[in-house]
Amino acid sequence: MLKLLDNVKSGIKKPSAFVNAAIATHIANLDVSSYKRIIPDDTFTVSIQNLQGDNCEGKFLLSGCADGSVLLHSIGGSCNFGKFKCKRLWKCGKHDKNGHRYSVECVRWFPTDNGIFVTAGFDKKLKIWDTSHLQCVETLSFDGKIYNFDLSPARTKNCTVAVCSSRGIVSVFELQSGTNVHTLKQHVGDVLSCNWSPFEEHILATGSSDNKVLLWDIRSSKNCLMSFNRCNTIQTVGENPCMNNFTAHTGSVNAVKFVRGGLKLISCGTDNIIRLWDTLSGKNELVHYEGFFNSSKKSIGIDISGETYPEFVFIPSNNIINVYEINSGKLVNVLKGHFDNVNCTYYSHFQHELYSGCTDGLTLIWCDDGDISRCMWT
Amino acid sequence: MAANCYVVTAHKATGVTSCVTGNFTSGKDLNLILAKNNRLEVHLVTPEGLRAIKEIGINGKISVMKLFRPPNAKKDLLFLITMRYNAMILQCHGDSDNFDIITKAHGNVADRIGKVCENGIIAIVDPLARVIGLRLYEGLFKIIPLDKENNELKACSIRMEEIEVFDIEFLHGCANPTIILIHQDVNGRHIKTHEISLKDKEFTKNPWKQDNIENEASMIIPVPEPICGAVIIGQESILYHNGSTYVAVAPPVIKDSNVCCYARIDTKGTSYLLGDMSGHLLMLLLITEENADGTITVKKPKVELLGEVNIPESITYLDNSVLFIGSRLGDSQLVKLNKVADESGSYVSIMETFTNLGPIIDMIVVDLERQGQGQLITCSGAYKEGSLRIIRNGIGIQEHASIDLPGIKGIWALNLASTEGINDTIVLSFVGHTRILTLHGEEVEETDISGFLSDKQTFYCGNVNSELILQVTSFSARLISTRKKQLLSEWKPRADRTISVVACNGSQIICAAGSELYYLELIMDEIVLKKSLTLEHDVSCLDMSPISNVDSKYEKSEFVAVGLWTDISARILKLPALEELCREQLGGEIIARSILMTVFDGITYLLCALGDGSMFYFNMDKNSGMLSDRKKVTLGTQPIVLSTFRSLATTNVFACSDRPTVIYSSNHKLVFSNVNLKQVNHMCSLNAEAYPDSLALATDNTITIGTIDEIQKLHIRTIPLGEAPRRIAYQEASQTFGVITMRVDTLDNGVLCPSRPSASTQAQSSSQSTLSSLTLVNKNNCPVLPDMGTEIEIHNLLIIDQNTFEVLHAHQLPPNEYALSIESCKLGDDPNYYYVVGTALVNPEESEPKIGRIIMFLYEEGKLTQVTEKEVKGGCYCLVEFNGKLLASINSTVRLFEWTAEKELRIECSHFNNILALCLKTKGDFVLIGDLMRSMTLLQYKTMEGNFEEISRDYNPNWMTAIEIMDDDTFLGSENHFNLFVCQKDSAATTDEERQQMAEIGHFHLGDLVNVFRHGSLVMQHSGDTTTPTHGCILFGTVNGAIGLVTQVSPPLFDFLHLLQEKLSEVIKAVGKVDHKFWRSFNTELKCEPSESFIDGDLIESFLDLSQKDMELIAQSFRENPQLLPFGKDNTNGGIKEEITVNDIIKFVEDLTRIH
Repeated sequence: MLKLLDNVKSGIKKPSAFVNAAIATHIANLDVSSYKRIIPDDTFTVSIQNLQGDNCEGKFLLSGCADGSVLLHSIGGSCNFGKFKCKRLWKCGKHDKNGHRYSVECVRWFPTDNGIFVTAGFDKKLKIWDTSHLQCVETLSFDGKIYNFDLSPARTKNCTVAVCSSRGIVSVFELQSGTNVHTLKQHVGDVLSCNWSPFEEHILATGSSDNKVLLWDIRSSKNCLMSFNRCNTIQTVGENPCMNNFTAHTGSVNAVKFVRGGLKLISCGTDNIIRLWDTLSGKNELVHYEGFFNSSKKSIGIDISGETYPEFVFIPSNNIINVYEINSGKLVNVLKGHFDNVNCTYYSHFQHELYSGCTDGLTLIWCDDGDISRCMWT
Repeated sequence: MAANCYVVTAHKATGVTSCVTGNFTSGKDLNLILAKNNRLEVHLVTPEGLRAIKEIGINGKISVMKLFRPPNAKKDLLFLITMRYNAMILQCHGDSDNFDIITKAHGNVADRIGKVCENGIIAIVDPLARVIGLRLYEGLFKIIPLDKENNELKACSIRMEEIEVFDIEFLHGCANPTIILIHQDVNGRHIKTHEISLKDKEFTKNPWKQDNIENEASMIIPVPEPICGAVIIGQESILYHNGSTYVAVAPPVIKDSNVCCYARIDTKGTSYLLGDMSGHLLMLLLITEENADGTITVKKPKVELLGEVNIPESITYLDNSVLFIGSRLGDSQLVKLNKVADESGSYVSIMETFTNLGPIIDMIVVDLERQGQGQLITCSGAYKEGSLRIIRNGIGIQEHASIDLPGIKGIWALNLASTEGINDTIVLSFVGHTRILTLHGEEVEETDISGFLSDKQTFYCGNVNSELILQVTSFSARLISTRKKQLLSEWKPRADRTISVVACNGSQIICAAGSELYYLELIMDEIVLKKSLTLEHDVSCLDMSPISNVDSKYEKSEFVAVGLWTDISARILKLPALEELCREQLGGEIIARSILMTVFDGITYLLCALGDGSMFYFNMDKNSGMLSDRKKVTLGTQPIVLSTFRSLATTNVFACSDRPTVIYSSNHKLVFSNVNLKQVNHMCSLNAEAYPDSLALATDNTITIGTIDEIQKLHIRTIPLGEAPRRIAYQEASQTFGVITMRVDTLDNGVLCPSRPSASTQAQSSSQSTLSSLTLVNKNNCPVLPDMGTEIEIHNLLIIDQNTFEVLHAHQLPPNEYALSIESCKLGDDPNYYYVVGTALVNPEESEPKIGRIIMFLYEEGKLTQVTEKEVKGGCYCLVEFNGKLLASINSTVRLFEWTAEKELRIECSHFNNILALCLKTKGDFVLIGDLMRSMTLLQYKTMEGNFEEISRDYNPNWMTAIEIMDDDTFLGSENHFNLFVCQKDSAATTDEERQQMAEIGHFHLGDLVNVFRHGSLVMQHSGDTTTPTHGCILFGTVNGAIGLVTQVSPPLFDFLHLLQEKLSEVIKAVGKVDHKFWRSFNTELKCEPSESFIDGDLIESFLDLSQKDMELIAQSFRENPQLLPFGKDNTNGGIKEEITVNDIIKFVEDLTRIH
């Protein structure tokens, strides 16, 4: 590290090489933050189902809870004497006006602006919120329970939303108008997870309890592009990819995520296996990720370190979080701190901190404080 | 809240990032083109050496530069791509003396989304110029077809299976454009080829591939026709492959270091030059064999070591065995390859070196001479190119002698007895009398010359030839023979007239008595009046320097330049008839005090200096005498006297005033460079035996004889160290610098040997320290010495004399202990000044240092003693003296140490909550911390409580490289995407939360990585000088060797400059058509915002280079915005707003150029 820093100062290495190395070290040293905490209030014992920080400033954290409440915390605020409690800014509970009736399964910020966020859950409702007034501005109803949804990250005029619901249906609609663009019906089980490609704005990946991972091009006909095949057998040309019996996992697929800028896709199944796929060829890269256990019947929130090299993925594995280097599958860190199953993770590029939500209602902040200061909190 | 910052480059980046050779300016010219960060330099290769012909600023950091020639074209085109993906094709119009760069095509080829390649941008051009290939993002190959004329560059993307790619090149001799690449997957590195279909914009087939080549292979050299194929350079082997067969060799000479660049020598493609990271220059030869069918096959690649050069970044072969070594880590070089090796076995001889300050790792501002002017000492260069550089603004005069004599009104050097060209006498003129001094060796003695009029003030005195002297007084013009020691001839004006002004060259005299002008000539040892003329007004100044051929001293002049009283005009008269050729009204009320015709770089100028310290200059036609291109510059505040002198075979003009200035020409542009003297009234060149090539300078009370430095704006002196300097501190008490350096030793049979002699191995005395004293070092974390032959970095503390720059002492740290910081300070009540060094123990298996030391050294009476050491739990990245205590950043903590009476360091208090506290700055009770990835934090030290309170923090995720405190509330930072930003603490905020959050009030894209900020200024601080429109001055040094400064301006001036900047970016057509706004916008991976609260001083200063027409256009737009007029000066004259003129703006911009 010191040598690399020296090389950057001399212009021998690019600054990004140092950033990558520093983040890699940082991620390998992540531990429960000594300075920063989210203190749950007394009543707070419900499971945190999903969380996400805003994409613009990294100052706000949105959490969705099993009791239907949605929480907003400030995570970039002030601190004093090295101790920092994240303040809760807002809560919308089950009984509040416009609140979700059942568990909130997914929360997402608008990709380019933190003026809007979207929540959805088992009450079959998807709600669009205005951040400045903290009011629900639109509620959309669906036929099935919503397990997961995703907003397209492309900076196009129209933000498209893919909503995964039970009964194998994925609905794609435009956020601004609320009009339904597509209904993707190829899955036979509950669709548990979906993710838009950050690389091509019309490519969507979905994972379902029918063990399949499908890749869709929403511009083309309703057939999907590809069904990922764990056995790497050749797909015949012209055959409808979804009609074959190719499965990605031998259990429900409850997380899919594009990595390496959309060139690869990662999927997690209840068969306790994580797989890495090439999105161009559909090839299973056969990378082995050790020590993964997954018993969740719902979607699990995995997150990636994003613009780093190598890239890392944070995957909840029962009550721990595994940190893998995506390319090699190397387990670089095991985050132990939760006492119950971890549901979701969110990595903040702004603070270089990991946030994780647990079934016991705790949200932990993971950071690398360096070894000396670990005793500071007490 | 606004920062109102003004950023300007004082010394432009000098590190060469890329160099190419080709026929750019015309088919006949051989050009060398250098890319230096955001600038291009076009040179012409001439038999005499390199001649710089153009410098072009690009609005972007140049990433890749390639010359290529379209089919059937006569000259080459230049393709460029910047770091932010602006691609452009540049073409040269005109001939090599006068040309313009035309942007033939341009465009931004960035994708909105895409994972940026870790290995950097690769850009390649097809050998037949059919297509340009780019690799910007992972998994994508972009092509720009060049088939049709299109002024917009558009790239199409092709998905590429290979993700981790190290190098790509186009193969020669292919029917369709074909690329060859080195890529890596889990199994290792492979080479692969793809044929591109330009019609379908996709890869059609893979002609051939070769799996599992050397694991470190990273460079491809495509071989031109008729051989074709490619050479793959690895760390240990060199492979030639042509698709069907391959040959590989593993020459031992390439194992030492990584080959980083190559240059092709011949067009056949059989010989290449390779440069590696340790500065070796290698020759690669492809030994070929001609087959029976006429095809050529490569039998074997062969590598030979030619010699050592500076560590190259890019090499290009010019002509006649001359090559250019472009370096970023040291000076660039022009190198000749010899056929025969010299004694040391090297085939390389260095012809010329080009100074490069980069990378500037650290620097300090010191005022050693106590003249009120700072000098900058930088730690420059890496590895063996490491050096200290002493940088001073302006031109230095080295004083050799001085004589106290008050009231001098004129000074001339004469040659009375000695050989031609050597001066032995100085004539000094005073009010009412004249004195003559002779120089005997270094002795000076007053004498008389018979026939010389000593009881009058002399207006002019000079040699006509070695036997004749001409003296002009108010009374007469006298010709004196030194051989006969008598007056030969005398000419007097009419009895009621006295001579008031005179000008003279070897054979002609022009003098004025009031408004009467007399033209005299020396004919046969006699002064003859040739012509007289009465002008409308009195004459204020005269000049008749010969301009047709300046090199001949006794040349006759065809013109007289006259400055007049009353109408304040400058005129050019033709000799001998004294007919007026040209008249220029100067305007204003200040008369011209000195006028001079001179030739710089083949261009004739008329300089006309006024009584208020300003000066007009014109281009003068040397045939017709017509004046054009009038410009004005302010040099001082008092009357200027202009005189010419010669230095290093070029003519320069010395402007004597309260701010003495040397006027010279660089790049066909006049440059005004300060001289490091407070005041000069008169001067003359002096070439005496004891004082060769000197100047005699008269101030109010003394004459100084001295030599002048090489004429350049910033004067740079190099102290080569041979090892990399890392940090520097100055200790006034011991008159020394403490410098931390790093050298590379090789482990040989368990003994460390320095790989080359360098400063630390050649010091006058040396010492070493061990780690045995540390308690934390036990077997587990004690670093194990690695294998034989490996290179180990050894850190040293050097004590260097402030005057001689000799290394007085070298203290060596143990292997694996890195010195990270140094500070010279006095602590507590202890009267001693100590050098404090912060270190880290590096264990290769740990990413972060876990142990370090703070070591206190005392340097006294030529001896360095270690006073004490303190063990700390981490690397000590920064050390600062803070209120008599020592402040240290140790990994993530900032700790304050007290210096006890027992001479021990004791922790007083600490601050946590950082990731890695990289830099510290202090002011009063405040401490500013720059964190590795979490921007800046401000602390306050509470004296009473004895602890730190976190006052304010910037929550933007900036990766810091350097920080500085501008004032109590404003903080400057630089981050690693080459941006600058300014944060402000808001003490007046109502809530705690707002107060604890710093507001980012300004940001700017600098385009270079800042390693260090220092308060200080390079220019002389003139007492009572209130004209400087800026306050505060922070200097910065960058990786590419640029020195710049950040200063603050008043809000009205900021608005004025902001508009000027906007108008300039409209008027100036940027080469490559990259928008100035885009270039200066703050840009990181997470955000891109337009520049705010910053003025680009480099753009502002380019106003002075504009044509009169463009300047007028800009001034016009100011008149349309009268509300923007109030910029400091009195624009309300009796309540009436004056209109802004071009001259006002020029004056203002000139004032700003004077801050650096």
